[in-house]
Amino acid sequence: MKKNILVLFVLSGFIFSCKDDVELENENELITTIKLQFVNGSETKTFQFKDPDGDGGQSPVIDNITLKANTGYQVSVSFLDESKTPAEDLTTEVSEESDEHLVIFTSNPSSLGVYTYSDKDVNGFPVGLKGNYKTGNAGSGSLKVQLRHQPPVNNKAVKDGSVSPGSDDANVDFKININ
Amino acid sequence: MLQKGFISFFIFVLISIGTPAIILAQKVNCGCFVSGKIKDSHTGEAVSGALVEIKSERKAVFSDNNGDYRIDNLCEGKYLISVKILGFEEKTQTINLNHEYHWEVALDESEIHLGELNIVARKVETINSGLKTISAEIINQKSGETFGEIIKTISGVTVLNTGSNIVKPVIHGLHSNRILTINNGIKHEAQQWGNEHAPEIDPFLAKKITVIKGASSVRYGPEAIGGVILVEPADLIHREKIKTEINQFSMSNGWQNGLSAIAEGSLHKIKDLNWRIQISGKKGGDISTPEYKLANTGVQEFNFSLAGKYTIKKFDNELFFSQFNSKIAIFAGAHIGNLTDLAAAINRSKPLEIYTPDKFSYFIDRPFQDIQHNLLKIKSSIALKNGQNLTITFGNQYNFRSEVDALRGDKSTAQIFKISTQSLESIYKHKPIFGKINGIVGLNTSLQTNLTTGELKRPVKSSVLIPNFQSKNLGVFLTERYVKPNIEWEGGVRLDSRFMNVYYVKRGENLVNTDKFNNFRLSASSSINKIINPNFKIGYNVATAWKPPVVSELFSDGVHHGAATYEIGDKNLVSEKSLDNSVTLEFDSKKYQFESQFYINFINDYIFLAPTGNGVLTIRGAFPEFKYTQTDAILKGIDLSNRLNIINNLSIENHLSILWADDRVRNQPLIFIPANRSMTNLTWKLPSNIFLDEIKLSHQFIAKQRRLPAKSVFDQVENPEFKLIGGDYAQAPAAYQLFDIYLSKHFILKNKTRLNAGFEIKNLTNTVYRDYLNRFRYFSADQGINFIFRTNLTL
Repeated sequence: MKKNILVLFVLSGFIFSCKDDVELENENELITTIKLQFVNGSETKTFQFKDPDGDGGQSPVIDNITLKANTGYQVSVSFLDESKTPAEDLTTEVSEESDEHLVIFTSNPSSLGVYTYSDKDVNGFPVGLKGNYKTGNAGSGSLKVQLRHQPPVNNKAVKDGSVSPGSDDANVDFKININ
Repeated sequence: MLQKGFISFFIFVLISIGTPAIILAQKVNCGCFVSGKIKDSHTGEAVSGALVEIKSERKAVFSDNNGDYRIDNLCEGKYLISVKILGFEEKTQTINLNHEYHWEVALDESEIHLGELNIVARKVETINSGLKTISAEIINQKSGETFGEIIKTISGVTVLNTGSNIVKPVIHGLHSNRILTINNGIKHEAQQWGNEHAPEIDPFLAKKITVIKGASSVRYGPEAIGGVILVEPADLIHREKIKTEINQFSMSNGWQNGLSAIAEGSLHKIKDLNWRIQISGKKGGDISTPEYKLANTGVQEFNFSLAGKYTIKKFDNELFFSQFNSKIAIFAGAHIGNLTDLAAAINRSKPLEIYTPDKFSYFIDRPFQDIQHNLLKIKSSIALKNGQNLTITFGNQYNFRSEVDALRGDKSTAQIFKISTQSLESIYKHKPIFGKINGIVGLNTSLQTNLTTGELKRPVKSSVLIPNFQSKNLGVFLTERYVKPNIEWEGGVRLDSRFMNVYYVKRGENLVNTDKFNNFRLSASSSINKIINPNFKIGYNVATAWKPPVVSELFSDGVHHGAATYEIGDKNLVSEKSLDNSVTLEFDSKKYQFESQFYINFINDYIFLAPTGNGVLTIRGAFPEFKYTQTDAILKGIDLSNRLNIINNLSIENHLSILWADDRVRNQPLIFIPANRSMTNLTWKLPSNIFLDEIKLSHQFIAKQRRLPAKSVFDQVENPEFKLIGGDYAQAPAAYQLFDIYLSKHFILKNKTRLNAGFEIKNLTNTVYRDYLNRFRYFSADQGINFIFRTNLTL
């Protein structure tokens, strides 16, 4: 009997001793660039937040957003990793996992403009890769663009259309001028 | 030598076949004598006070200070002679006495069970009076708790937590790379620098944990500024029968269950080959605070070890292998993207509902840590004549750590660290000088390689937290000890050198940079103990220690996600140098015991992380910038222990730890220093005819840390972007008190099977609290009530 226990000990030791690290990819995915596209009829305006060397190092370059007052724009947002060559477009990954992501636009002051979502995930919650921005009267302030990552907690989906769950994958303030 | 070996072989055969030796004495020449020397087979040191007895003649003597004995006035004939002393296995020998007989005895250390008391006789490692030991009994009482929680029972030792499952020991306010852990004789080498990296040690294997409070670089090498923790399994001794020990625990909080099994024995086909096999595992799920559960706070562990010891003549050879595996979930609500998330989390009195589920789960989701630590040890020691001894220990360690984050896409992205360390220690114990001065000379060498990207000298990425590096360490030391009946002195010197090459790619470049860091330093120590009277002992230690800057302090450059800080290292940091003084007073009487340690540790060029007042803008928002810098620090403190036996079997003890840690340059307190605390235990040992053996009521009081830095460490930035409270995001939490109760009973079953059962309730009052040194205090309260049932079975 005792011998059997011993054999069991030894065997179990060998079985568990192989470290399985195949499934892990030691790769840091990085958003370096946020691209905003505002379309009104034939007019297309693009603004970027760019930090190609990632956190720290060179300071990011941020475009100032200039839009016309009391005008409706169709807005699309894309996320890129430009630290790699060629640059990688992470927008597809966000849209593939749209039920875990939420883009939020916040104008400050809020009179600068109103954002409405025009896309939905599988659960009917907004995603924010596409939407409309209706500007108000002339003024200036900031436009905050956040990409909230809201992955399931203990296998349970947490995205509810609100900002609270999860954490920021991106959080950027653009200066905005409404003329 | 050969003869001695032959005699011990003869004794072995006698004992192992269990020859009944009943010998009749014949009365002829009655002027005969037996004499000899008694030694510790392991260390070769003389054993004094051993009882040498010839029962049939009712004659007995004790061995003297040199281990010598002599029994006179014996008649010629055959006798059975025995030698015994507590802590060693008894030896017997049948002798044929004809005028005189010389019997040299080498005793083997043993564990002796006296009821439930476990006494292990051992050689003294050091006389440093800051040394405190945790016995197997206490370790068993705490089975299932983390290594850090177990050693917290010593006054002056506290912990640094990241949630409940990641617990790091703190000695006299110092932690991480400022304390060393010696696991089974090998310096534990992993990624100690991180606050969220707990020591990869299986407490189930430990039979004794010793903590040396205070600087101890001379014997253990650089980095031992705060102290040393020695973790030892039981010695491998000869066993007639296989000894099996099974430990089990179940906890209501997190429904954590664990099991450990140890089997040890001796092979009888090969003489003097002793072995041990041990496995342990545990699994726990979501932890509960008094008011809510915490999502993703489970833990899984699986560990095993194999050990063998083979003694041939004067050679002791040991082989040991252990593997530690753990997977630790990181509380989902503590995963933050930026400072806005952190500020929102701090302002909530309770984490968001999605992070405090009603349903319990064992599931470990991202983010989590996945860790493996392997240790191989080969040790040989040779007992030479005149008490000399040479020991060579080789160690090989491999530490794998992956920190898996919740990131976008279907990829499990992770930071992976692989660190391997080879070490060789040679220790020579010289023969006593004038029979009074004992000492050792030692040589330590080690080679450590850390790999985070590409190959060692060809790193491919600049975005790693810790760059690739290789360090070569060399140390030589000498310690001497002088012992007289009422006074002991110990002193030593050591010279160390560390050569470290760091290979990294600069941001936005492809070129590999190599930076070299060379450090040399001398350390010295001296301890003196004076026994004033049998009840009262006084001791004084003075020691220097040092720590070269760690790679994280030199090279950090990035966001530390757990802490929401942008951390920047400084390649121009120099070694920390410490001068530690401590006075100990011990009073010991039957009714009352008192122990105290007063210490003052000056650390020049103390390295720490401080906010600059600037912010670093990243795509996830702005983070406060923290830089590593140096100052001259002073840590002063008092550890006080009082124990009073109120009446028979009822005793009360109190441990008090008080610490002041200051930046001497800026005249302000240092940050993240444990708050003052008091621990009181009321223990009642009941008579054996009652259904319980022991009831213990414990109370802990942890004060609020009011000593926080107010001034900025760096030149004051105009209009700082981040306003911090004493260098921190949140106020230090309020003081709190905890009550625990522990009940135990032991049973002796048939065939000498012993069963110890313990029942404990921790945080009896289900108090809501947050601890200053728990990194998760920003996000959630600490653990609530926990019912624990433990059994320990020995057969």
